[in-house]
Formats: sequence, structure tokens, C-alpha cells
Amino acid sequence: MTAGSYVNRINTTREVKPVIAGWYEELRTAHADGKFLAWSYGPVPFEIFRAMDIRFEHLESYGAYLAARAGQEKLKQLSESDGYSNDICSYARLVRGVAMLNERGDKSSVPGVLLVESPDFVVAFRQCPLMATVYDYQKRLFNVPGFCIDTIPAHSEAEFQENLLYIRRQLEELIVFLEDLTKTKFDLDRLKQIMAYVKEAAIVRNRVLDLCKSSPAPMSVFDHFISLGPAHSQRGKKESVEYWKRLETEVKQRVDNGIGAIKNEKFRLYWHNLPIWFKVGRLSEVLARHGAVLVAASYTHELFYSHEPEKIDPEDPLTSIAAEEAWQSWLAADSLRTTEQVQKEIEDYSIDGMIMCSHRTCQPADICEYDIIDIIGRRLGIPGIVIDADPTDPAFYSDAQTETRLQAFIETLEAHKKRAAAS
Amino acid sequence: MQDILDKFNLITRDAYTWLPGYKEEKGLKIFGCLPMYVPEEIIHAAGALPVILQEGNEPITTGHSKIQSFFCGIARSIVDLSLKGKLDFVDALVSPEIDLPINGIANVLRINMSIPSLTIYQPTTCSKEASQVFLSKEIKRFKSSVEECTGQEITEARLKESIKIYNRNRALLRELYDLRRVKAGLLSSIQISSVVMAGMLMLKEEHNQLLETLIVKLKTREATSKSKFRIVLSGSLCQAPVADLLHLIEEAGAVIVDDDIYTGTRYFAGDVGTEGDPFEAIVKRQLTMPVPCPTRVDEAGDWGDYLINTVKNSGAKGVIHMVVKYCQPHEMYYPYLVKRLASAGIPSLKLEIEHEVSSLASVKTRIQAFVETLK
Amino acid sequence: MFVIGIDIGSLATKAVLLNGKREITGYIVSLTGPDSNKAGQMAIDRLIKDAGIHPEQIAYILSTGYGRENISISNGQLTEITCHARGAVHIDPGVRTVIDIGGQDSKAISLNDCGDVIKFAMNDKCAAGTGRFLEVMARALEIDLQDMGELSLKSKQRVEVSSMCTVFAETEVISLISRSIDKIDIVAAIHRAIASRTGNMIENVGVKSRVMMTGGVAKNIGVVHALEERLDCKISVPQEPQIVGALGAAMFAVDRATDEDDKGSIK
Repeated sequence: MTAGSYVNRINTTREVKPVIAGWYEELRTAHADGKFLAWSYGPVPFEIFRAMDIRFEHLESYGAYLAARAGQEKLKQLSESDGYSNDICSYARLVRGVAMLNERGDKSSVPGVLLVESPDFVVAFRQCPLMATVYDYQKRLFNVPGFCIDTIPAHSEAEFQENLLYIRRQLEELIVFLEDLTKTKFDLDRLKQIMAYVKEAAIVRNRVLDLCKSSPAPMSVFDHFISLGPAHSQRGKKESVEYWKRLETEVKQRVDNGIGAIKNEKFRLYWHNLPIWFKVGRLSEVLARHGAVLVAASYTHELFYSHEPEKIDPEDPLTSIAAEEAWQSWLAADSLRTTEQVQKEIEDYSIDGMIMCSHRTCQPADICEYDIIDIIGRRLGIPGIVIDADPTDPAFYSDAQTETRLQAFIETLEAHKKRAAAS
Repeated sequence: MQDILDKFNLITRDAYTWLPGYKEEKGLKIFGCLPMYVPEEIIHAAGALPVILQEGNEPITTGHSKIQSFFCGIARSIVDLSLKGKLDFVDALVSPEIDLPINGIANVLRINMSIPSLTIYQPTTCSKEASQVFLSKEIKRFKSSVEECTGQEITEARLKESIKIYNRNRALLRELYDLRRVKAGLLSSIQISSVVMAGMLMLKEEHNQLLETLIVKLKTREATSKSKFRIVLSGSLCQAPVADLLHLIEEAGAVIVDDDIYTGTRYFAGDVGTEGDPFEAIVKRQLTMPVPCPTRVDEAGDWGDYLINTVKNSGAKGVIHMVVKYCQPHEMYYPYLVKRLASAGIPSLKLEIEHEVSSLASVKTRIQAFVETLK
Repeated sequence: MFVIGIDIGSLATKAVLLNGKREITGYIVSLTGPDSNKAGQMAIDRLIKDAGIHPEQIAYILSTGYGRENISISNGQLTEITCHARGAVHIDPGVRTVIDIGGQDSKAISLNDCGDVIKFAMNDKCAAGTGRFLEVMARALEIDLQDMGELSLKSKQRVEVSSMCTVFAETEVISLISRSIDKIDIVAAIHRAIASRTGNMIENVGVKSRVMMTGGVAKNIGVVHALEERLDCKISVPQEPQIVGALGAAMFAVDRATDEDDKGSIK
């Protein structure tokens, strides 16, 4: 622990930064290495790209990566001066800035940012409807081939099944598209092996999540956010399995020795919606100072194959991929379903309060946040607050405002606890 | 003719005051459809009245307790109205879930209202075989949910009849637009907007009758505008353009001659085929809508091309983009449109539409300055 | 023959008197106050009196600006976009980009080689990046508004004022003061903030040489300098930047007084 810090940071997460840097280096040299480069929007089936040796940039990962970099202001300025309103998804504004630098042949002007070259083709998965829009608009500007995988916002088991079939069919069409483009034959066996690693990594990751049910929580969700940095880029690699196993070992050791993620755990909180990528470290400290630790989150517990990975069948990778994508769509689309999920986590992780992050330019998980607080409040008596932020844009974030709200919230949890103890 | 225009004005001035009375008069079940692209014919064929829910006139108050202030006006307005009980006359909600705010409305209403909530999913990608297969099934699923809700079977015959009526409606609206293109200012843009919007709020059969009478009368009228500043209005997705803005555009000396807005061409472009299976015909229309939309990935079309053609065909000098504030699909596409238009030498102006109308003085300046740049 | 161009802004009213040879015979800058018609009338009366001419000698009065329609005595009106462009081109025919930062709004105008407006952008919803922003900050720093510009050039250390909103930025500035950050550095940061707020809008319109800045804030050398840095270009400032709009209006007035079918005018 660093002096004065209340946070007991996980060591294994220190591996993440060089892995990500290495990944962007690979993207930078993709063409020089004779590889195809795709720009992707939304949680596209990275497994398939990996199986075909296609290197891929991913909008949300790139946006999150750029968020903490010094050059991000310049990138946003570029896209805003191109007429892109600042109401628009901040990931999209950042990455559009990179595309503009490429358009201008200007590789040098943004310090501290690894620039990715323009792609050979673009792919989208319409998990968030805006991904299709960004994909379409950018495809016309790049003037390259593209493939958009559609998904429907299912609201029932039957619709989920229909969506699964729909997605699966499109995955087959995608493979034909990629074969045509790269003039290589798709290797199903390779995808099966990749799927096996995906499965194993997800199962291990779920075990790590489960370990956080104990008190004191050995690891905070902030550590987990960091661990997810390479989630897409390393998916299906043996290395990712090994990372999660090393993480599991470290976390398990903490549980065995009663070591917590923060100094003095008093309150266990749930975080709803995307992280604030440029405030992960700071908020971690702020909460820890008041004895609060994040132990569960929608982002960590509902995405990245966290749902029943033991059911993944590596022998039928396309169905497994489609099932995961369809599950995401169901959760994202249906607020009642989301509420059930939130409730489950609150119960499983002994949560004292919910932080609902309301992101200014990233709307999907903003929907029904107020209702979720109401419903959970009525059912479980657990309170929640809303904080105003944005995944990557500091213009929509105020330290003072957020930290005051969080402190006030924790004070109400204190009072709540005292009252409960007294009665 | 004035009485028809007055009637349309009355209907559209405050849809939520007019609709409950109309419902009682007609004795029909009302399916409140969120914009855009709900295949209304299917609902009509079940003997119910599909209406397109509009943005309300009231300031948003209670609504902000359920939906954040940075969602588009229509989303917040509909949520607000429902919480205030203004949507109680709606018997069923239909959501096409085309993007986040629409999905948002549907989710909030599902939790906070007790009316049945139906969905009809639009494939986003239109040219894929998988999309076709999906939508064919989806239309049948929607049909069943409407049947369940109304207790009325939707036979092929009934659907064909409804399709005929809706095609007629679209044809009449197209005829109206053709007239206006040739005779600038034939009706003010506010009047035209209310003609189209009224059709979204009443039985198409009735609307057709009124349109037929109106068009006969209009054919005898001359153009009222000699303005050389002919404008195409673009965008205004889901929401009708604010009447004050339309007025300001005409006051600045310009005349609107065509559009691609939702309470306009976007609504009535493209008919449903009349041959073969009517459900498949509807599927085909849904997948081949002529006006490109930023909520869809249209491999066959390009909004830039479409706008350029519209400008050329209508002899227009410029485009005014009506961008609903917080409408991210439009805001994302807007710079691309400007680039395309600029490369075709077509000037354009962006006007933001907000639910909360701020000072019109600055908007007026913008519009006037734009007109001053047109030659 | 004489004409008057009058620019009635929300804060200041500016009027320019031109003779038949399009020479500036007089000009005036005054406060608008709550009654723009009255302010306009007073400015015109004053201008005529100071020039020693009679009202009958005024062939045409053209008004522009926020209050352009409220002047009962005006013969016609055009927007301040068109007028600022015209005024700028009269001062320098080679100008292609005009940046006007006023008391409460800002605009960027792009011109073609004929001096016609081809594109423009306005920020009139928000005070951040306008003269009002500077006023608020000067007060918070307890520095004279007119000293702000010169002071900012003396800054040695870069600090940031990042809030998008004037009110929150004021809070930020106060917090910087309390941390004993050198006021000069804060002043520089404020000027960079203005350049940043207006920079995107200006780039959207396109920065083409030559670039001229007009409006009251152009008298602040710190803002000019910060904008030059932000936009990476040279910016010229005319001797009396505040009257450029009125000058342009007066130019159009001459057009209309001498030839009613001038191709540049809108009836």
C-alpha cells in the first residue's frame, strides 16, 4: 500500500498496462506485418477475427484507453470542429479524432497516444444501436467494405431464442464476408480452440468474482475494471486464462488471510453502468477513505461471458458466441431483467448501497436507473444514488460534485446502519 | 378548404387533448405507436386505431424523475405525459425499439404503466438474407400479439384491405407534396406539417377523404410564394418540427419545397406491394424504405445521395437540417451530410430543435443570415 | 449624401456614419440599456450632431444586431453575420475568416474570394468564451478588465481552467487563487479557456487566411494571442474592432441608397 492510501491495490493488475501497450503496437504495425486491420464497433465476435489472424481495433476499448491519455482533449477538439456535437458518444468522438488524424496524414501531433492506422474494413455489432450508426457513417468516409451484425433488444425467453438464431445466421454470413475479403479459408478448428480458452478464462474469472462475496472483499470492482482493459483484445488467448488464474491465486490468498481491498471495510457498494475510465484510481481512493468498497458492478458481472460460461460448447463456437451476444442484448434492452440481475447481485454480495452512474453521452444503461433504485429500494430497503459522469469526457464530470454526493450517500448509509443497530 | 385545414390544425395543435374525444367517438382501441416505422397496417387490420405518439406541448416536470434530461425531447415528453395520466386513453403501446431513447420510453412505460406493451423489431441491416428471414418471423409474431390484444383475427384479406387504404393515403400525401413542389408556398409549411401529422392521429380512411377534397381545391390555387430561396428541410427525426421555426424560415423570405422529415416524406415514401402474401409485402417495405435513416444500416442507399437528389429534383437552393437535440443518430450523421452537400455545392444550415424552446431571436438571426448567403 | 449603419447588441450599441464616398465620417459606441429603440435613436442623433449635419442628409439607415428590428427609424435590416463580413472585407479585402467575440455571444464567419459569406457558426447559448466570461473572471481575480490581456502574456506556468460553464469556472478560479497559484498564470488559463471554447466553433467554419478578429473582446491582446495559438494562425485586429458590424451595415446602406437593385441586398 502506498503511503496515505486507503486502497490495497491488487498486484496482478500491474500486468495490464504493458499488455495493452503491446496490443496497440500490434495494431500500429498491422499493415507492416502483412495483416488485415479491422475497426470494430460494439462487442463484435473477436474470436472469429482471432481465428482468421485479423487484427482489430475496437471502439469502446480504444475509447477507454484514450480517456486517460493527455492527447484526448485534442482528439475531441478535432471531431467537434468537424461538426460532431459534444452530445455524441464520447468514445465515438475520440476515435473519430484518430480517424481524422489519419485522413490528414498527421501521425505526430497527439502526444502519448498510440495511433492506429486506418482499417481495411469495418465491422459492427449493434449491441448499442449507435454502434451501427458510427459504423455506417465511418464506413462511408473510409470507403472500405463493412459488415454490421444486427441484434434485437429481446424482452422474453422466446425472443432471446429467436435473436440467438438471427445472430448465428449472421455470424455465418460474416465468415463468408471475411473469407472473401482476406482470400483465406476460415479454420473452424482454430475457432474451437479459441472458444475453449474463452470458456476457461470466463470460468476462472467468475470464480474471482465469487471470491469477492466474502467480507472483507479481497478485491474491488475498480481492480476488476482495470483487469478488463484487455478483455477484448486478449480474448481466446492462452495468456488471458493464465492472467485470470494468477489473479485468482492472489485474490484467494487474500481471502485466506482476511486481507481486504481497502483498509477498513464498512460499506459494500454496487456500481451500475460503465466505469468512469479517467477516474478509476481517484474514486477508488475517495470511497476507500470513507470505508466503502465496490464489490459488484453491472459491467463486470454481466458482460464478458460472465453468464453461465460452463455451458459454452467449444465444439459449436458460433452458437456459443451467438448465445452470449443474445444474452447481452436481452439484458441491455430490458430494464426489468436488468433489475432482476441487480437484485441478485445485491443479495449475493451483501450490498449496502447502489451507485447508479448516469453517463451523459453513453445512454444504454442510463435507462430506468431511477426506477431500478425505486424498485430495489422497495423490495430490499437498499438505497441508491445517481451520479453524473461520462465514460471518457471530463467536460461532463466534476470531482467536487461527485465526491460530495458520494460522501453524503455514505453518511446516509452510516446513519442507516446506526439506526438498524439501535433497533 | 379552410375548414379542412382548420380541422387538421385543431387535431395537431394538441394531440393529447383531441385523441381521447376521437377515441370515444369512434369506439376503437387505440394503439399508441412510438416513432418510427411501425407497420401500422397490421394494427389497422385488427380493427384498432394505430396512432403515432407525438411530442407533447407541456414543459417536462415529473418526467425528469424517470428519465434523464439529456434524452431527446420526445422521449422525455412521452414519459412525462404518461406519468401525468395524459396517455391513459392508450390501450396498448407499440415500440419499434429503433434506438436508445425509444427503447427507454418503452422500458419506463412498461414499469410505470399497466397497459399492454408490444414490440415490433426492425432489423437494422436491410440487405442481409438473415434480416429477411428474421423479419418474416417477426411480423408473424407481432401479428399474434396484436390479435391477442384485440381479440380479433388478422386475416390476409383484412390485411390486404388495410394495405390498400394505407397505400392510398401515401399516394395522396405524395400528390400533395408534388403540388407543393411545383407551386411554392401553396400551403405554409406549418399547414403541410399539420396535414401529415393529422394523418398519424386519425383513421386513414377519414384522412383520405379529407385529403382528396383538399387536393382538388389546391389544384385550382396558384403558388403564393415567389421566393427564390427554395429550401429542403431535412431530419427532424421522430419529432415534428417546431411550428415557430417553420414560421421563422418563411418570415426570413425562404420557402420550403421538399423534405425528408418524419412528419413528411419519410412517413409516406414507398408503398406496400399488393401482390402475393401481404405479410411478406410488409416485410419487403420495411426492408426497402426509400428514405435512408441513421437508425438503420442501409447498404443500398446513402442519405447524402438522397438529399442531393431531393435538392436537385425540387429546384432547391439549400438545406436546413433540423437536428433534434440529443438525437445522437442524427447528430452523428450530420457532419457527413454537410460534407456530401458541400461537395455538391449545396449550402446548408443546422437548427437544433429542443423541447424547451429558448430564445427564438438567435434562431431567427441564424435563419436570416443563412438566407442572406443564398444567391 | 450620408448613411448610417447601426449595430444594436445586447450590451453595446455601435453606429457608423459614412459619406457618399464610403468614408467614415464619424462613429459612436454606447451602452444599449433596456430600451434598444431609445438607445438606437440616441446614438443616431448623437452621430448626426457631432458630424454637424442635418437628419435630412441621411439617405439610408440600416440596422443590424440583436435589436435590429426594434429601431423604428431604420430603413432596412440585415443580420450581424452579413454585416460583420462586409465590414471586415472593407477593412481588408483579403480577409477570409472573421471571428467576432462580443459581450454575450461569439461568431465565426468564412468568406469566399468575393467576400461573400459561405459558412458561419454562432454560439449564443452560453456565456463561456465571451466578454461576459472575462468580466466574471476579472471580478473574481480582482483585476481590472482592461489589464487582463497584457497580464496573461506574462505567464510562466501553465494551469488549466477546464469547466465548460462560466459559473463553475469562477468557482475553479477561486479555488486556484486559494491554492496560491500566481494570478498571472490563472489569467493566462482563462484566456486559453476562451480560445478553447470558441476554437472548435471556428475550426468548424474553417480557418482560412487572412483571419480577422472583431468585436469588443478583440481589444484584449491575451485572447488574440491565445486564439492564434489554438488555431495556429495569425490574427489581425482592426483599430476599432467593435464597430466592424456597424461599418458593414453602413456599407450596405450606401448600396441601397445609391442603387436599389444591388445584388448584395435582401429586400
